[in-house]
Amino acid sequence: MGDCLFCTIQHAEKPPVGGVLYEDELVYAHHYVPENRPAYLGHVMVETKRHIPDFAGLTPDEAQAVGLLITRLSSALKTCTGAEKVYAEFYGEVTPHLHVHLMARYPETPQEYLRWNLSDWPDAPRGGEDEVTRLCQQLHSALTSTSGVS
Amino acid sequence: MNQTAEECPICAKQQSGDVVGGPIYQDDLVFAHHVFNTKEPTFLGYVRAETKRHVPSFAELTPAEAQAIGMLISRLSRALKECAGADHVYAFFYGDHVAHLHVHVFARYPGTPEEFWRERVDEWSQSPKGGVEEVAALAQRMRAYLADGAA
Repeated sequence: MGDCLFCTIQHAEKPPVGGVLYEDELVYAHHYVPENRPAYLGHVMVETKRHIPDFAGLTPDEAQAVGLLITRLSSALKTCTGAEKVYAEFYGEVTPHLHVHLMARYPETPQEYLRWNLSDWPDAPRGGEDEVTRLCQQLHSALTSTSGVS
Repeated sequence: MNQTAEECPICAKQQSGDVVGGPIYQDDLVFAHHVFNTKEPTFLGYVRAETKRHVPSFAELTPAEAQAIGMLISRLSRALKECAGADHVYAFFYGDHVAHLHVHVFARYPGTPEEFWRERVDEWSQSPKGGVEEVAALAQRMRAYLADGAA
């Protein structure tokens, strides 16, 4: 746990770019920003607070909270980015702390970049700290101004 | 990709209940079954978690549906570990083909070489595969496991 990337982000030893999108006792969300290259705008991580590797290890409360947060952020991403749809992907192969990737799929995404190739699309909307921070502010107000669900 | 509920294959399947192995779990909000491949042997340990309501993605779920789907993914993941011997369980939502929320939940077995991880787990020659009987047997074990409220 000591060197877990997500525990480190959540404990604010290394605060995420754009700040915390959502946090309660069980779950946490922030925008994903890779090192040394622009971020894919609309790539958000949903995580448990507890250092637990996968869905199988969740308590019922955590499982419900993760489902609800995926829904609320998917709705906010559609509103704030113009995404046609939001993918949700759980791989869990590298860091054994539950994290679900939410990916905004833009309407103009070419067919060959759909599904797991989304972030390889060279013309995908990307940005640095400023753009990510601006999007996070919009997402944050979309989450707080409504219940986030239709 | 934008089927109405009347022409949706997922709605039709849920209403008829006609899936190999039968429904693994269902309640008022959600439904789960094992995927069956009619053309070649089926990879054992690939299930789908779906909403009952014809709704395209997570963004449109009610809070109760969102909670139920989160819970179902978690319970199916446990069932795949307990009943199929998976050492890891993936969960993906894309929804590019059928506009009715369905999450792919599937096993990765111990010893799977890294080049077959993720969406290629079924291409590993030693991954367990089967026909109607094997799929039905696994679905039955998972159904029994999930019928226990503690699971």
